[in-house]
Amino acid sequence: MNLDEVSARLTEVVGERHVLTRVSELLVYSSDGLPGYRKQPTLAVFPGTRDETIAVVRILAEAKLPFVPRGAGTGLSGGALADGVVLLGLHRLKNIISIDVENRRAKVEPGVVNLKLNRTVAPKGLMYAPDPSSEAACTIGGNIAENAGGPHCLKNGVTLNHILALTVILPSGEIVELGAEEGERDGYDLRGAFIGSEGCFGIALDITVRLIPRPQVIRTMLCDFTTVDAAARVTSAIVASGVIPAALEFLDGPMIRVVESSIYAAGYPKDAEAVLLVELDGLQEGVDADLETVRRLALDGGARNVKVARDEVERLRLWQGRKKAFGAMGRLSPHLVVQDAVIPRSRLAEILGRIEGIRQKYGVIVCNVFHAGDGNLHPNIPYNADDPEESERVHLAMKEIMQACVSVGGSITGEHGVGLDKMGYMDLIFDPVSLAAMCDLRDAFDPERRANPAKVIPTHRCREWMAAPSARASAKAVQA
Amino acid sequence: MDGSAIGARVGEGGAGVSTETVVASVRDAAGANERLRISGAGGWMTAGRPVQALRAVSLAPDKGIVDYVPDDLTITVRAGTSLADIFAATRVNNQWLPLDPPGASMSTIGATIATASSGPLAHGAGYARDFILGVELVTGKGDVVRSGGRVVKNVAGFDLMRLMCGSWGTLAVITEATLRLYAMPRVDRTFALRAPGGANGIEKLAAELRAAPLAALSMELVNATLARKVGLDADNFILVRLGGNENVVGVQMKTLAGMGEIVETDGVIWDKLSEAVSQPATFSLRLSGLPTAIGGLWSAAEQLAGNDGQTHSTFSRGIVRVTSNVVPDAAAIPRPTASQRVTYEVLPAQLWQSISPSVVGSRLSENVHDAYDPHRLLNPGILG
Repeated sequence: MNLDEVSARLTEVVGERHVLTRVSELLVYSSDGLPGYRKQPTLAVFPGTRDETIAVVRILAEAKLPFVPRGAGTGLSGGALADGVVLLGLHRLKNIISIDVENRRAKVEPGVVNLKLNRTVAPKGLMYAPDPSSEAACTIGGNIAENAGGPHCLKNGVTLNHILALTVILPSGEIVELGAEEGERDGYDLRGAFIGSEGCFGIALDITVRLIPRPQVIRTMLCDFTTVDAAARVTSAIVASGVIPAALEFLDGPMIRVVESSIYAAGYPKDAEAVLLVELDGLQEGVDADLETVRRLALDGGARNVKVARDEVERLRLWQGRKKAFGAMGRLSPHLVVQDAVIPRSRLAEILGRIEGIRQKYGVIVCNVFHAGDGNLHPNIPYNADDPEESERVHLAMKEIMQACVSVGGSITGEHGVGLDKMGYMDLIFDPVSLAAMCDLRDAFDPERRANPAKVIPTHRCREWMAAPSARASAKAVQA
Repeated sequence: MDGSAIGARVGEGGAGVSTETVVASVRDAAGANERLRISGAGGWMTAGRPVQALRAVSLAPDKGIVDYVPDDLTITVRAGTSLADIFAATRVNNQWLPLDPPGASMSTIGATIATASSGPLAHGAGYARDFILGVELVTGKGDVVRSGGRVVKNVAGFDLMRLMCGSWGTLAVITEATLRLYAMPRVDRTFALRAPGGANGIEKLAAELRAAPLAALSMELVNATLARKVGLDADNFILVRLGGNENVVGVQMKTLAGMGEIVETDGVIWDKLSEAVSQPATFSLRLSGLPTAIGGLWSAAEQLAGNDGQTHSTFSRGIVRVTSNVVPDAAAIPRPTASQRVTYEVLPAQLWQSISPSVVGSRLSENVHDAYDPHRLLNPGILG
């Protein structure tokens, strides 16, 4: 089957409007949430129903064509980019199939937007906990692919901890049930293996998520510091105290000033070198006591001020600065590199110092905004990708920051995924045998290696890559 | 004959078990085309389908803390380290791993992960799969593989850690694990709430507890037999463990008192419960379903328990477990239905094939099995 024939077959299934083949139409899908990469799909197809999705996957299986699943395209690792292969967009599958208030679960299609789900269940006193900063646009299917986190994962856990069951179509077209909608599932935890597989294992057709009760009260406080060190130490002190904040976020001086000069100004003091945004939630009596504990720890640790949001308006404003920080950086330059390294919490002050040294060495701007409670750093470097000299300096600085984080026992990605962007760093943290074992898991789900090809694990680390020539041959056929 | 190793003749346990010796054991077994029985402390060898293996490796001697930085709230331990040892090492810093499967005092962390075992703390804290940050494994091919890492948040690479949970050693031997710890609650109190007997009464009380403003660490329903063993009256009770600061525990205690007769008990009751439900039984299984279906699940389990069997339930998760020394007639052993799942733990050997031949028989599970233990060397047949 050549591409025209595939296109015709797909058009029969989803309709003409939902198959794109012209270069001008495909341009919009040549990038995702991470600037700096451009990859052009050969064709994009957007099924509107579960049955259409099944039919599309089976046509691609018959044609042995590789494909890249894509949700809202908000990912920050280049994982949703299709380089000369088919792009399979799932954002039209946006039905909330059912909500079971008593048993605290909801069944949704993969294209349901994270915040939409939360707004729908909120009046029933429930919430879906994972809240990536892109929650207003990102989809639950994409969250599954990336095992997405978010500021509130400190207390409630990441996507993995909130998914009960999935119906998945494997790249071969076979449909499998992973996990269990009710009760326990024996055997291998394939649900766990699938979550965070970055679109390499198949496509979720429906997802049963766990909902949790909305907290009785939420209190948000802003602690500001004149040194980064003091804020880092207070972070450790809070976590060690036994108080488990719902969120514990860190913005450094440069980041504060970018946010405050933007339309997302949140009222952070511009002369501070660091602010901590601490949110506590739960039962009223418990939160009041914990708030006092945190206030004392912050002031004893050198905080200049501790401000507690008086009402919901003020609380949301404090959060706006944090959640829109990446957007605010658009003021500085046309491009942005976003890192996602994780370090042991106890090394926070040390690593922030090393990042500052690296910033000076390469003459770049680094703005830090991150999930301090989890040690999940997001050093961001704004730059102009059209300037090769600046791009090179940024690239070297980023690599050195990553090496610094790995050298203290850290990881190269906490929530954004490996995708294309971090693939080159995989060898820093995994040996060849471990990488090969991960490839083996992919092969169990997708022996032809057609789903999101050439992502996550560097291809040269996959044993017997040559033994799966169909994927390579068909990738070439599509490119031709 | 139970499910333990049959005629094991090469006991490689004892001092000096390490990743290297496990690799050697796996490779030697492969070379000799003989199967390996993998175990932890050996406290639950009757569980699972019968295993035919001529060789055995116990990970229990390979114990100890590899790395523990209290400020990071993470700990890396060898697989043979007992949960009790982890508890003792972390409590000096007011930290803990909130995991309390049956027999927690002697269970090794490796076996707890491999069998996906949990206890009453699953209500508020979750399962082993929720705490694992990293693992070192020896696969059935003799490869040493690492997945995850030592930090609390990590999405680098495909997830082999979760794959180990509930794999019962059939894919790989876990040799080391890194786990997430939590700060211990400053106040930790346990109350026993008398519970009704029938399905309707249980269901109603469970619904009230679900709706109440409670954020308990544990809520475990125990039957009269168990209640007596842990020092309560011979009646159904819900044991509720409240943790946090003094205020939050106090207000929840009042909420609880408004729902029925409560008595405060010593926290040791949880150790007694863990001990009681880990006693060797000739028959044990778990029924699970939606939390709202708990009444029916409980009644079915109580019927299986008869007069002397033990029944306990983490009802918020929809799980009921029964252990007994009386094996019911084959016809009376529950089978999975649309609304009720059954996890068989201990059955007479001859019943497995007819009742639950395999839980890893799907093509996808077979593919996964082939990927890591293509020659079926490790705990062969324990999952079917």
